[in-house]
Amino acid sequence: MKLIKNYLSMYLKILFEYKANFIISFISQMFSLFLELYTVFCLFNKFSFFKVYNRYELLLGFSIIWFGMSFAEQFGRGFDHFDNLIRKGNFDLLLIRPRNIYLQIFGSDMSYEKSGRVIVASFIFIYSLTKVITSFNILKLLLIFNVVIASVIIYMSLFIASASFCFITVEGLEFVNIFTNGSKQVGQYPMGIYNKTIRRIFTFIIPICLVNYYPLKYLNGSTNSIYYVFMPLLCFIMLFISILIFNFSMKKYCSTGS
Amino acid sequence: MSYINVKNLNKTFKVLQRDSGLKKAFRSLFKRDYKYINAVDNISFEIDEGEIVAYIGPNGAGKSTTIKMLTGILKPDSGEISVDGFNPFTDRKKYVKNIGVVFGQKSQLWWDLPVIESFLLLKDIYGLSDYEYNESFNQLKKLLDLENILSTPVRQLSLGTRMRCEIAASLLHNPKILFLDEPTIGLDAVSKVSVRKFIKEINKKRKVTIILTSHDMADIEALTNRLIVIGHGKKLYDGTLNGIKKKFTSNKKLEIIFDKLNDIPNIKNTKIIKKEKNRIILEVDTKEVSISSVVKKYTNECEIKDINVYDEDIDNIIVKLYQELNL
Repeated sequence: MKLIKNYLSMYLKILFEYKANFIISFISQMFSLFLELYTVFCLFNKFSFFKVYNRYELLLGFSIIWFGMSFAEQFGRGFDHFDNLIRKGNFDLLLIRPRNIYLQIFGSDMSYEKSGRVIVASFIFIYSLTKVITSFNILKLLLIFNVVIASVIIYMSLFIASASFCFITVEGLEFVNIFTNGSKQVGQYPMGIYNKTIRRIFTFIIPICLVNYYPLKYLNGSTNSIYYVFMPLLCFIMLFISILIFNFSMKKYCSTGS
Repeated sequence: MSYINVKNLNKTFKVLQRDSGLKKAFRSLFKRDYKYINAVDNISFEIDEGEIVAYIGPNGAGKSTTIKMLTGILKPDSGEISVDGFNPFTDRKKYVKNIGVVFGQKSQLWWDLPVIESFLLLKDIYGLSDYEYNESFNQLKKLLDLENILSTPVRQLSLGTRMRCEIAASLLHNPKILFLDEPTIGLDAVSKVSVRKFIKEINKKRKVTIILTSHDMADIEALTNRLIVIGHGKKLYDGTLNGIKKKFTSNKKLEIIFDKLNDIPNIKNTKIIKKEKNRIILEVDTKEVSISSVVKKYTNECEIKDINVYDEDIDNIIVKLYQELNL
């Protein structure tokens, strides 16, 4: 725990070292998210099938996906850019330390710049929540909590699973982008607009429906089933599988050069 | 049983073979040809506690692979490694507390931050108490003369200074074994000498067992007498540096300085390398003719003012060794 705190403060110190760089990237990250939001809204106004959802439900799904992804990118950059670690041979240096390897990979890279997106996404999320929820109760609060956790866990798992490919092929990351960026592209629109097959894929393989489709049904009152409250927690199965894959692939590690 | 035991160690890598050219590159997308390379081929050796051992060989001989297996980074294909009772790969987390590693080409310091920050993070990574840390840190600070550079960001340090910090970083947790993978690569003469001096000192003061790889023979000559030579993954020599010298050098250089030389004596098995007005340098094959007999013949011809005898350059010896072993 103390080590995590130390890693965080190390990156904070680096951030102070390069203030201007941080401010510029922070603002550009915020700006790029607004652009994304703008395009989604343009489509929303143009196509009638969007109209199944109202504006705030759209915002809710949009913001939770971006929150999860940006948060995971901010702190899980070590996994997101795992090929760097392997290619430069710095993974060797992690292996000679008497600490948990996951913790060290988290500590190997972080980017506070992404907090620009995290902050904007959080604001949109909270704002749209207040508009979507008409009657508030403790179960809904619990669900919101679960959704926030799950959105981060899902992207973290995706990064961990994709990092595993680096052990087998050093440059396998482009292929994995289908899952990380692809899921973000799909998930920033309400999942209700897609057909059943697509929704199944994004429930059982990349479970982003767990955070932006099913919870919405409960929050806007379409359903009252209590299962919906705990459904987002199913993402831990994905995390578990990702860790298994990563541990398995790590045995194939063969280092690079001298 | 020795401190470090390596028995019949093997490691094979699968290497992708591809000819040059776009067409061939495209073809390799579908059909890949692999070549298997025995990076480490049946290597065995033993090292005692407190020893300094140089592990040398030409590029690609398998030095780094062996070091990586000894440090628990890579899993051996077959064979046994036991270091202080640990198996480096399976007991990795417990084992690495006892070792320090310096990879000459990879930095363990935080590029953007002052050196001291890296040290303090390492203190937490290794879970050192304040007392343990301070004691070790103060000793290293003194020995490596780090006082004035601790608050400088690593990116602004010269290579030599950075290497001193790297070595300090790998010794903070007071390891029993230190692995140095080309610690003097790219350093200037002054830095090299100070790094060597420090390695010797730390070996004496803390009784650290040191395994080092280097291409700089002067490093090895200055630091150790035990030498393990490998090539193409196989162990070729394990013994003293003097042993190799004796085996591969029969030639010595003899420099004679005189006032006036009457006549150059004709001696078999000697070769004149250089002749000046009052100086002559000869190469003498000591297997055939002794140095003293050469000197004797010269005393007949001139008044000798000074004599110097040189061993053959260690670099040349190693080149000879590699040639002899067909590397």
